[in-house]
Amino acid sequence: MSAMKRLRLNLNLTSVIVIIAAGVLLPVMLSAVVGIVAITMAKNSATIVMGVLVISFTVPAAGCGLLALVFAGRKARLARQQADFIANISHEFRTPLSAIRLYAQTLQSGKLSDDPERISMCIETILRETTWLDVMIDKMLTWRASSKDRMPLNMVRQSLEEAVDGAISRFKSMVTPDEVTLSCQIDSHCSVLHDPSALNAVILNLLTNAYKYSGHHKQIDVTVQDQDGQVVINVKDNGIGLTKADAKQIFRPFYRVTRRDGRETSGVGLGLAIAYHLVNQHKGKIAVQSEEGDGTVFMISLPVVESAMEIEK
Amino acid sequence: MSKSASGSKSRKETILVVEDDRSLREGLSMNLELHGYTVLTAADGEAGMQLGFDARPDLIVLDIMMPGWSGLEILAELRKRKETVPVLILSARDKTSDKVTGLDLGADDYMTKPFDLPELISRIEVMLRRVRRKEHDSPVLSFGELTIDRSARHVTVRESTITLSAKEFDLLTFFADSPGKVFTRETILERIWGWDYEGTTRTVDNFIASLRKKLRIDAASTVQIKTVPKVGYKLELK
Repeated sequence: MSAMKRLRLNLNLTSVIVIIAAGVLLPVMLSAVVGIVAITMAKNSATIVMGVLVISFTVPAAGCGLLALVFAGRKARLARQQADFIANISHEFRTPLSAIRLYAQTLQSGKLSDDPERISMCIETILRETTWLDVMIDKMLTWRASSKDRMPLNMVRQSLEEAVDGAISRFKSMVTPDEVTLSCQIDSHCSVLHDPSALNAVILNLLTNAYKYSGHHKQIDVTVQDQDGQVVINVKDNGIGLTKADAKQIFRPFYRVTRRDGRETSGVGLGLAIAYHLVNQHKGKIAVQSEEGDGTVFMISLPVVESAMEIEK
Repeated sequence: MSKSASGSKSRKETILVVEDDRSLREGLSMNLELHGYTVLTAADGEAGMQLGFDARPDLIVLDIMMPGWSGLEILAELRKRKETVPVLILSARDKTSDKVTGLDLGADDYMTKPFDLPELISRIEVMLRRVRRKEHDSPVLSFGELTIDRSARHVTVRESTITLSAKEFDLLTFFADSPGKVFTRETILERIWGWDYEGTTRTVDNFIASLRKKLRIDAASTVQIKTVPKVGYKLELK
C-alpha cells in the first residue's frame, strides 16, 4: 500500500512529461529509421511515398518530444534556482535579525549597566542592522516589481545630487565610521530625467557591493561628472576585483561570483540585475571595469536633459 | 573545580568564535567575555581552521555559511584528526537535514539564527561542564616516570613529589594534554598568562627552563620538553 503511495507522490508533472516524451520518442525514432530505409531502398514509387509519409510524421513528433524534454529540464532547473534563492534570502534576512536580537538581549541582561560606551555601541549596532534589513527587503520588493514590469518610476528633472547624497547617507548609517573611507565628489549639476529613489537604490547597491567585496581598509570613491552630454557616476573600490569572466556575467539575475575554491559568494545575486534594469529604464548605461585583485569601478551614465527652467527660456 | 596550590583565581575556558558577520562575531565575543571566558575570534574559514587547531580552544562556536572553508568542512577536518573539542554550530538554515548533517559530522550541538542569547550561553556552559566532569573523573595523567594529578595539583617524578608554582603546573598540564604537539611561545603566553599579560615570550623561556630543572629532566629522562627551533616547545615521550 505504501509503495503505491510513494509511486504516486513521485509522479509530479515534470516526471510525467519526461516519461511521456521518452515513451513517444522511441517508436518515433524507430519509425523514422523505417521511413529512411523505405525511401533509400525503394523499388517502386509507392514505397517512396510511404517512406516520405512516415518521415513527415516522425520528424515533427520527434521535435515535439525533444521540446517536451527541454521544457521539463528548464522547469527542474527553475525549481532548483527558486529553492536556492529562498535559502539565500533567509540567510540574508536572518543575519541582521540575529545581530539585532543578540545586542538587544545583551542590553536586556544588564551586564553592561556600568558601561555606557558599550551600551551606546549596542544601540548603534541595532539601528545599523535594522537599516540593512530594510534595504534587503526593498531589494526583494524591487526585484519582484521589476521582473513583472510593474515598476512605476516617478521621474523628475533635476541634478543627481539628491539621489547620490541620499545613497551615501543611507550607506553611512549602515556601516561603522572606522570601517570605510568614503569620498564623494559631485562635479556635475546638469539635470537628468530620473527617479531619485530608484537611483538612490542603485547607487546604494553599488556602495554595499564595494563594502562587501573589500578587505580591511575599505576605500570607496564616488564621483559624478559631465561627459559628452551624459552625466557619469563612478563608484570605485579597492576591493578584490573581478575576473574577466565574472565581469561579463555580473549583471545577470542570481549571478554571484564564484571564488577560487569553487564556492559562490554570499548574497542573492539580484542587486546588479536590478541596477541594470533600472538604469536601462532611465535610458542610461551601466558598466563595470575591474582587475582581479585590484579593485573595481562601476560606471553609470545617464543622458542630460534641459532643465525645466532652461526650456522656459 | 580544581583547587589551586597557591589560591590563584579559577580561570574559565577559552572559546573560539568562528563567524564571518562582524556584528555577530563582536557581539558573541563581548558576551562570552562578560561571562568570564577567554575568547578568540576568526572571521573566515581559513582563520577558523588555523585557530581551531593551533590555539587548542576548549570549545568552538562555528558558523556554517562562511567564505573559504565552510563550517562543516572545518568540523569534518577536526573530527578526522581526532580532535574532541566540543563544537556548537550556528546556522541560519533550520532545515532538519542540515541539523542532522551537522550532528552526524560530529557537532555537539546546533542552534539556528536568530538565537536566544541566554540559551546559547547555557548550552555552552552545559558542554563545558561535561568536559570538566570528564577531566575531574580522570584527573591523573601518567607519562613514564612523570605523574600529574590534576585535582590535587600534584606532580610526582620517580616517586618523589615536586612542588610547582600555579603557573608552572598550568604550563605542564597544558603540554601534557597534547603530548607531541608543538606550541609557539605566543600561544603559550596567551593560554597560560592571558591576552592582557604585559610581559614578553621570554617569560615562557624562563618558565620552561625552571620546569626542566624542577622535573629533573635530563637526556636520560623518558619525558622531555623539547625545544623546536624557530617554532616553540613540545612535550615528548621517548
